[in-house]
Amino acid sequence: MAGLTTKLICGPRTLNLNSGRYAVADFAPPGVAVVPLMGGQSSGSRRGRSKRGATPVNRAWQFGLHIRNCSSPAEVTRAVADLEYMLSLAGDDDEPLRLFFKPDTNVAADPLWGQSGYYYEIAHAEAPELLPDGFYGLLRGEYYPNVRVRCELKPEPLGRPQVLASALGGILEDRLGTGDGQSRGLQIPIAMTNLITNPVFGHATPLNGWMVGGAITATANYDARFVLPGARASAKLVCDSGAGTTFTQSITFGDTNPKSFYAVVKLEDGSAVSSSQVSLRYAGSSLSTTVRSLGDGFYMLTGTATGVASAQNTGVIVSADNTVYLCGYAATSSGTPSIPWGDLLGCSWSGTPHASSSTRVAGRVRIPIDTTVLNRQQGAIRMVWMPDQNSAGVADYYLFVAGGLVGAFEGATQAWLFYDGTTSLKSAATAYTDLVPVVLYFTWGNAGRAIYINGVLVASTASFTPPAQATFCYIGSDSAGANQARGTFLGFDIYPTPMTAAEVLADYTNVAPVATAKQRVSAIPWLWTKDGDNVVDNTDAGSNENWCAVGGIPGSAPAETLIRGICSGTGGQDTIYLSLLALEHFFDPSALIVSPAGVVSVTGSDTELDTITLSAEVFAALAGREIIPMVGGNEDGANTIYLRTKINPGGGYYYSDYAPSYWRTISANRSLDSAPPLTLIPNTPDFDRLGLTYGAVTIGVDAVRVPSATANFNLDSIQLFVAPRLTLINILGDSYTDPTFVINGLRVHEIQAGALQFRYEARGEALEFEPNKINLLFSLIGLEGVFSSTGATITYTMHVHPRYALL
Amino acid sequence: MNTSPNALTLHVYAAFSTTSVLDIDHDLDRVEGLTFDTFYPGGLFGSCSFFVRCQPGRMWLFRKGQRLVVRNRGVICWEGEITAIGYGADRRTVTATGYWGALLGVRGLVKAWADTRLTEAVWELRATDSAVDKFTLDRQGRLRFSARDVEIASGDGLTLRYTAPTGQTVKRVTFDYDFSEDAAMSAALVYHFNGVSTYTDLAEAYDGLASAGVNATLNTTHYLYVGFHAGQTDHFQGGDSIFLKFNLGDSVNNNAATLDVEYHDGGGWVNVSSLLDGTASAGAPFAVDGNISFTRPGNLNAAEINGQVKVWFRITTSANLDAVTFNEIYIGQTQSWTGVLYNVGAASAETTLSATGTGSVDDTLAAPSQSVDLIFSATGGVLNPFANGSVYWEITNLVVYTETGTINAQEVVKDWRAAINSLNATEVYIGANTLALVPWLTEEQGGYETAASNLARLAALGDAGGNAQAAYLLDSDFGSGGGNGKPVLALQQQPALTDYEYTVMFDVLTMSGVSLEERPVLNWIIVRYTDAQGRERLVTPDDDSSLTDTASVAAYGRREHVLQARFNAESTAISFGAAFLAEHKDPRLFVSGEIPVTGLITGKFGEMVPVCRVRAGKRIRVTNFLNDVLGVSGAGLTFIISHTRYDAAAQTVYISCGVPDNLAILLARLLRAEQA
Repeated sequence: MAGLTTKLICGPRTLNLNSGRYAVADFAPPGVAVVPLMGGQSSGSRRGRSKRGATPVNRAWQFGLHIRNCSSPAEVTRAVADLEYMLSLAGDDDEPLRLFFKPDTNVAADPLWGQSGYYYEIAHAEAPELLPDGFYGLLRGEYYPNVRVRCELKPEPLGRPQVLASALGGILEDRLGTGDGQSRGLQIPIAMTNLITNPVFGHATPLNGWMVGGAITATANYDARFVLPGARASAKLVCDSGAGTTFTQSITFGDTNPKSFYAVVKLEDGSAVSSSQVSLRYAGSSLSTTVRSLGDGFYMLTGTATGVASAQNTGVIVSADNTVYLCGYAATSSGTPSIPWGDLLGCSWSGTPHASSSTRVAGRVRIPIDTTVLNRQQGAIRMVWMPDQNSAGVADYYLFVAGGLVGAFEGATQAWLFYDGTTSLKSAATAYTDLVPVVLYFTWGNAGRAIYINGVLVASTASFTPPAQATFCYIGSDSAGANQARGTFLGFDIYPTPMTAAEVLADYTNVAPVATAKQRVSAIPWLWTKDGDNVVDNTDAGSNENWCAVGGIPGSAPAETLIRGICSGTGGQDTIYLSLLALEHFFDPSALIVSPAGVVSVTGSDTELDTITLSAEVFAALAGREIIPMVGGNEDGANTIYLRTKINPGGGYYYSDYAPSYWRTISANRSLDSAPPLTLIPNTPDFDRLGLTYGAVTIGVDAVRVPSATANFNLDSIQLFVAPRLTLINILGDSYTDPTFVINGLRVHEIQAGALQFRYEARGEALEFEPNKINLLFSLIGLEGVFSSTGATITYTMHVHPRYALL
Repeated sequence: MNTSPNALTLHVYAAFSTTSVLDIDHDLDRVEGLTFDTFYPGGLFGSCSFFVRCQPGRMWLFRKGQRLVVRNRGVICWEGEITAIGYGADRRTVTATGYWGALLGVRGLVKAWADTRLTEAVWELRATDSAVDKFTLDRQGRLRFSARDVEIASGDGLTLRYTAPTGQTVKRVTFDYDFSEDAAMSAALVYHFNGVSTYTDLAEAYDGLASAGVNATLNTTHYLYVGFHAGQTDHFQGGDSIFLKFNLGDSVNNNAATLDVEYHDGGGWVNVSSLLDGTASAGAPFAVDGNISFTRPGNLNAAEINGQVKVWFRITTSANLDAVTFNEIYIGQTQSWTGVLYNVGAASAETTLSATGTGSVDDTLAAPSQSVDLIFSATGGVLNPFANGSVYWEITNLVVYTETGTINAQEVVKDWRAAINSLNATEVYIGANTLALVPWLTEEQGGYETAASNLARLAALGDAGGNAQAAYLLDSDFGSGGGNGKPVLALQQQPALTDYEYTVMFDVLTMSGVSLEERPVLNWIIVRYTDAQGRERLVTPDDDSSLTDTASVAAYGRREHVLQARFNAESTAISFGAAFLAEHKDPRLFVSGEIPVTGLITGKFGEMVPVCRVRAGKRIRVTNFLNDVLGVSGAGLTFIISHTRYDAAAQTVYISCGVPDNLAILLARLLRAEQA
């Protein structure tokens, strides 16, 4: 439905400006006010000034409003008064007045989980400018045109607050082939083992493990246009005429079951790939190869074969006089068209990275729900799903499971199902097609249940038995994290009321062009922990991980981020160190820690505690950032250690100043302290063309005893935190066992026994998750000189309030 | 959301603590007009100000005296004390001052670490002394007590009292002394009589000079006649013990013998009584310098010998002697005097001198005392020095210490650290500096002086190696015990210009409104100072060659400069002058204005550093300026940042380069005046 939705909203109060007595006139949505900080220009730089940051600012804005549809002057006066009342509420930070804007009127209700429209906070509003001349005449006319509303808006509009879904396993933001690098949606894949040992050419010798036919000239390519997201290189295969046109690797399946083979390739000019140019090969035979476009010139080759128990070569065969970039390769006994490798989230190497097979843990995403997120009695779910295979022959796939409410596709009947815990609503057989997005609507309420596909009702029933309220809504799998609906979820939204058929059609018409273009319709924000339970540990060693990953953040600017953490097993200290590392591509944070549990004799001279060497990929991700090594350990006695940070980008170290540290002197009783921050040099990717690569950047921590003495320091670990970081410090200097903390920007509170305690000071920067990034949040509980248990945990609940930098 | 690398957070704490003051309405999240500055040497943090738009009558908990910290990503960029909270129509303003001004600029002492002053105000003459008019006191570069030529009873004397300021105690006293209680008069005439007929006039033995003598060989038949004017011997009363004092030269006697001494009573020769030969060694008379003492006869009378009427003594020997060189022969009277260093607090003598002689005293008091006395007094019966000043106690190089350890720059700074309990306890950043500071006092004449002023004067002296030093306060995160909200006192060598932390390029933008200027070369330093006695003194390269530099003079000609020093000892003035010379003997450039840098500044290794963290005391190198012009090989054009001014709204730091002379002193005084 055409039209605008414009409302003034303040807490529970709402005034619709496009309904009843009001209609916006010259309304144009306000833009975003951000003042860029431009660095100074120097004669040494020929590139002009550079952006050094940005500061959001308030700005003035006005719009016209018609007061209409009134039947008396009193009604006009009332309408003006109502408007003035709402505007008078502006300026309260605790309950701000917001202007809500949505460029459509398709669905009456806004989603409970999802985004719809933009909320501008009005910092100040002036009373409408009335026109004295002829005012009463206008009243008599029962119509008051173009009332000017002038206000000062906060810098950026916000979306709706949204709790993060809990994620587990090898979920993946689908960015391959989107061109602009933005995610088109979330993949929640099945488990998979990729036997290829150097599948994305990330080995120090990029073509390690691959056999090159005599007609092929194979070189490592570092041009990111021909590299999988998150990988470092691809193999550029230039094939001449002659014998030996294969590029293969030897693998051993060990059985004779059916096998699948996948390769992602791209041609030099990004044009369409044909199986006549490059195809899959296994056990000395070329496979029947299906070629599917992934976008931006990337193509997925898929093929199947019967396994051979003994070692066999597999790879690609390139026809003569062709140049192909092989970006990744997978060979698996069970999988979906994808290239998993050990560095991805939820994946691991079986041995040496990029020299062993990779395993991906099955993905699982679930939204913690109550009636404010998903109401068992009524509601609707809109999901946009792009399957990665045709429906023919598939098993049963679960689209969502919220207790008794289940959406699924039944492979045997090719039907869509909507189960309420009592009865199933099933559509007629309606197949879907590989890589063609489907917009699905499931509605439920006292009028019954319905299923819509692409705006069309395919099944409905008056029968609806509300199930028990569930605690999780699983997306794309069953409640056991199995039977995944393979493919990419371009959107998933939960509405408070069942949409009408008209609303469904209007909404589908609205989103269909985006879905058809295989772009994300709505974000699915998620919080990944290794066990999928939102729990992080207090060290990153062994089976423990003190970090979590956050992705799928909606909006276009770092979101207002609310974090609640419940600490457990802390042993009586409540200082929390947090660090946020927003990455273009995920890498395993174990690259940022050294955990030697070693003894270092620290003297009055510079003594190296330990070092961490960053790979080229990790360096590229951290370049230019401020590094803060977090040191864990204890002293044998003297407790007079000063620490400094050092970085060797090649050629020698540069150092921070020494700063004092303070340790426990109880053996094996770890405490924490941070070494001074030091900024890593920027990356210079342009220099790649001249042969410069940062092969290894080393970051270390030195210690010295002042005054000079010699004693052992028992090093537990050094973990690199980066800026932005935030330290929560108990302002009263005391401490609580197992505190709960709540963070909103730099406003931080500690909660004890359910009561606000005002005990935390936020020292550092606001931690705000970024859209289109993998946000790694690191945490450590402890304090210098205070016992820090490695067994402590934090259980998170996180909400994001999206910001929009551009509209 | 603020994506700036210079995002700042402010926190307020109780004074010198880590206990936060609750920011009830999150005012510190929305401060405006935030500016702060840093300076060096001294400092590091200068002033800071901002305002918060709010109803001025609204309650808030921020108060004067609380600790304000400005952080960037957890790193302290500025720290100090709230010194004023103002009220505007729509705002509250906060002004804060770094602890160099707010703490060290208002906290001071009256203290003499090592005091060499000798003035009346310092060594006070005690009015309780008896018979003060029987003595004289000389304070001209020394303390010299002298007895006058009058009768002096036992117990008569002079007392000088040194009193340390309240709260301070004297712990050690050192001095050199020359103590003499037996001053004597040269003889009026000396003959060597060969026992036959010849009287040889030994003029060198009574010429008043002990520097040269005359030889005489006494045989058993010879006499040594020693004559005096009657006025000389009249000083002594009959029955007193008197002596003939012999100052011998190169040749002395080695033969054992016994001397016989007679006097003339006007009628004939009479043996003296109670004879003691102090010149004998191993039975050989006239072997060493010494006195031959005896009881003054009551009937000494003049007689004529060889035609000369004198009061005569004559000496014979029981055996022939070797030739003896008589430099000078005196007559005197042994008296009984003491010089005492007296511990007033403990009511006990620390050091007592009672024998004629010279030496040194280094007395660490058994119990520190606020006051000590120097007492010169008679202890015998009635005494009568035969001349004004013939009995004296001369004290030179007198130093009174209120500390027991070596007084050098490092120790003085540690003492300041200990004296001000609002400073963190760590002394790690008080670097080694063995430059001796004797004397060293607050306010060069021992008056009240703030810590900032005293430390700035101290730093201006450099170290024992002539390297420039700086005293300043680091932020509390450098403190021990995890940081306790107290600033950390530091004394460090100023960083060498051969290295740097930041880089900048000079071009049309950065040089707008500023210029590079060269400071004149000065290589012949004359230091003017006022000594401990209040006299104005000059010390020049002619006095001490460390005040000039030969190479600089050869290169640039002799460039003279008179330097006014606030030190009262020549050695300290020379150190000050030498440090000044080291800074000025080569050409030095400085930037006439402020260099603005916005957003990020490039570190030495190419890392990008938020400009809000740029502090004075770090070094900045101009990278598009290749020549060495600073007299420091390899330095290119590198400066010490002497001042930064950060404007948070513009996210721009304005950097001043080069260290003006005595900047620390200037700033310390300014801050003291402004904030005290």
